[in-house]
Amino acid sequence: MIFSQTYPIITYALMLTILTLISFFVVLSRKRKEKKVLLILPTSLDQKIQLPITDGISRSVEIFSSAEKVPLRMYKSCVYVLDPKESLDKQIESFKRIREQAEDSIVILISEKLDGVSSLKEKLPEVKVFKPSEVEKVREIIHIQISKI
Amino acid sequence: MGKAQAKLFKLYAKIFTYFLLITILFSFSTIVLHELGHFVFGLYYGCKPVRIVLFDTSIMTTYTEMECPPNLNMFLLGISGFFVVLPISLLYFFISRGGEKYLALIMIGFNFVIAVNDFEVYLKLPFPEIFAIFGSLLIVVGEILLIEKTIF
Repeated sequence: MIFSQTYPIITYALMLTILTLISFFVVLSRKRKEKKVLLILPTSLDQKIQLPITDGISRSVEIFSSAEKVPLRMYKSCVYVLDPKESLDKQIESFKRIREQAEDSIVILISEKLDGVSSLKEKLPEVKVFKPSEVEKVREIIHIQISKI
Repeated sequence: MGKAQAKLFKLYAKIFTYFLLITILFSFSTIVLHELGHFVFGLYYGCKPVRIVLFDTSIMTTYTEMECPPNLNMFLLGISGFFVVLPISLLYFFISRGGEKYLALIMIGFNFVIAVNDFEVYLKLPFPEIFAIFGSLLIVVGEILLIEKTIF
């Protein structure tokens, strides 16, 4: 008495590849329409920036106070505001990891002291640096980024 | 292809490979459980075990071979492989957290696909291919839920 499968293993592997590919494209096409945005905003800065920032934005914005709390998901876009009180090297590593989860991303530092900025720029050339007095500019940049289609 | 598009393509390729590997891993585990079902039920009903072959290079498939008494209920033995996978998949569904629980749907779907031969030979069901189509649909639903709930 022999109980066996109808098709060879390779046929099943091929079938699973095709079904996974179909499912993957279904999910991608559905998720691309949602266009979620990721905003990482340190607690020390959220009072200054956060509240008016999502006003008038119909798109879903997920806000986290640190990169460690971000789930492994795909985002349309990411805005990473660095915390000047925490280790910048650690945050640069977090940003490099997080930006893989977004189609496009920006990174911002708001700091009064500009002494370490040149070394930061070397490690992360795309970083935009602002003084606390320029918070309105930051808000505008974030607003443009999260409302971008 | 722009830099951003290339980055995105690389990321999606990584995610796709991950899900493909995990799907193949769970599906092939389902084959082992399915064959084990035939084997254990065969022993219970007095069959003499010959072998479980996980991969036969000549026919490129998996099978269970047993010597069974002639008066044996072939219906029960035929569907035993299919029915052993069901409670294990359901148990996995209820004990696992997050999107991984939908791997159970993939297991059940794949179980339908690999049981087509049993349905045809031992249950004498007409159009057993319908089960393969139903199983494939379950796999797609399971995959969509798995990818959506774990990554996106």
